[in-house]
Amino acid sequence: MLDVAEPPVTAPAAVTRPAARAHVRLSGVGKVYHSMNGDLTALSDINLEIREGEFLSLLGPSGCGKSTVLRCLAGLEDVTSGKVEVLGRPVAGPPEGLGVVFQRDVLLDWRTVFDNVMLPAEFGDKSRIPNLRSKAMHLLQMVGLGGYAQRHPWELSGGMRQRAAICRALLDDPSLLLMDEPFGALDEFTRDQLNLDLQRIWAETRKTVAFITHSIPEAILLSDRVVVMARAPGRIAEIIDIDLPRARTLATRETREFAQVSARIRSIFERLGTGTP
Amino acid sequence: MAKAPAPSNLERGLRRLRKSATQTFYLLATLAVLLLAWEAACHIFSIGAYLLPKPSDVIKTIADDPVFLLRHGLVTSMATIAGFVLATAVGILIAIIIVYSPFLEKTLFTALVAFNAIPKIAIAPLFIMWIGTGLESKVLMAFLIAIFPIIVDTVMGLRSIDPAQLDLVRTYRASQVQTFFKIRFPNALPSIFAGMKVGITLALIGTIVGEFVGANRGLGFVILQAQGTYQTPLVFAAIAMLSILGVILFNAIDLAERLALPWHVSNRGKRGK
Repeated sequence: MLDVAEPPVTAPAAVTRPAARAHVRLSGVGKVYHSMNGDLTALSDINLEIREGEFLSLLGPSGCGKSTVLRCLAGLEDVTSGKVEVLGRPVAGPPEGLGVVFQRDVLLDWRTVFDNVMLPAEFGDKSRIPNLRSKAMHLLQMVGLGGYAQRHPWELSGGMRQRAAICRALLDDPSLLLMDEPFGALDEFTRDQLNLDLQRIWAETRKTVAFITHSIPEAILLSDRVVVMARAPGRIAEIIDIDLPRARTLATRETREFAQVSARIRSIFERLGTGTP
Repeated sequence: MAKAPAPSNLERGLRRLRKSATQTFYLLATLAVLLLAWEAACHIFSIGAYLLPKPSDVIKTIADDPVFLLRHGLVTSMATIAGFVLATAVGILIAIIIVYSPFLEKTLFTALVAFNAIPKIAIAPLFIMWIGTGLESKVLMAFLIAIFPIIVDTVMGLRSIDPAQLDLVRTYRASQVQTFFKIRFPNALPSIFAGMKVGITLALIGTIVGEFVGANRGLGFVILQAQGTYQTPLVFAAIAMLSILGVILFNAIDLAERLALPWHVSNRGKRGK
């Protein structure tokens, strides 16, 4: 049932990747949590480079350390061993130019949607605020929330709240966007729509994105590369290039090439013995 | 995307008004039935007025000189409110100190718990001796009794923060002060108001205790005096006045909470309304 209008198949060699420099580099990163019950090795020997403007997914089962990697990138956690560098500089606390979207939207109930999106503007140079106000409105309109700016978070659905959280993350024009299973709590229809929205936003702004998910189709649809992670201890099993042409649509998921990549990733998980993520 | 029609504030206000009017009606009706039963019982059992006066006697006493009760009621109110406001201000400050300084938590908080264990009623005579029978001693009593629940609830509120919210502002490299005003304090407000509701009730009790122990004004003083001269209807009248005062004060805090926290779960009402 191949759609005639499906995107053309291109051989891997024909895909040109912009020769971008490394935005983020993790070298030999390890993270051990010490507790009364013993030590827990969350991450072991993580070596990873994320290029500028790249969309990279971290894919793996619960407990494989993908959230820990993100938190180390965000400077929210210190690493036990190894180095984390953003634009060549070691990370010691949250670096500049960072936008984070968490699993739950973490919108503040006592603020309107608009004031929530404006939150990042309140830290730092106050003179930017007038410009950022119009940008906040523009972002909200871009994700279809223009009419809800003066509402409160509890008046919105889960998908709308997460959209607002994405606007907030984009407000300060971050160069590095970290997203921790942002669509995990949403239903499939909302998820599909937000995947397309996110791809569109990324294509327009070309930010570097590190995206955590445990959905194989979502990872393949959105990413330039997928980092397959395993657990016990948390480590990188394999990094897979996704050579499907852009812009990808929901129809892309039905193509033969998509199924091939999906099968390849699934076999990696089976080989690791962890089953599907 | 279609815009959901928002109920106007007027609609919401009218609905709430109708709801509270219905509740008030049932309350008053129940009260009226009880008063009638009380009046009937006094007649039937010929209870002496000095033991249990009839409601009609009490109302007559109030009507004879309403200004008298209002004047003393005002004194009690002022002491209560002053003690409460002080307890809130100082209590919140102490709570902030406790949350931000582990050392002071161990020392100050422990001392507070120990001090709170002493029944203030027992040490009230001491304060009267030191400070006198004026308004100050009542304010002090109200303050001392009301402050503890405010501290405890504020500390709990300041500590019960969603870690994700703290992570969020850390990614903006927020200072401790910014984190406090933008995240901790708004989160703590529901708990603080809960503490304040308990606090205002206790402040009133503190004032009355002070007026019992040594005073020449206030509703507590009136009760004691009237009891000593077997003017039991006046005692009841003063108690009735106190109840009304307590209800007004509590509802004032409740109203303040609903105005300050329209976003809180308890004040949202049903979705779509």
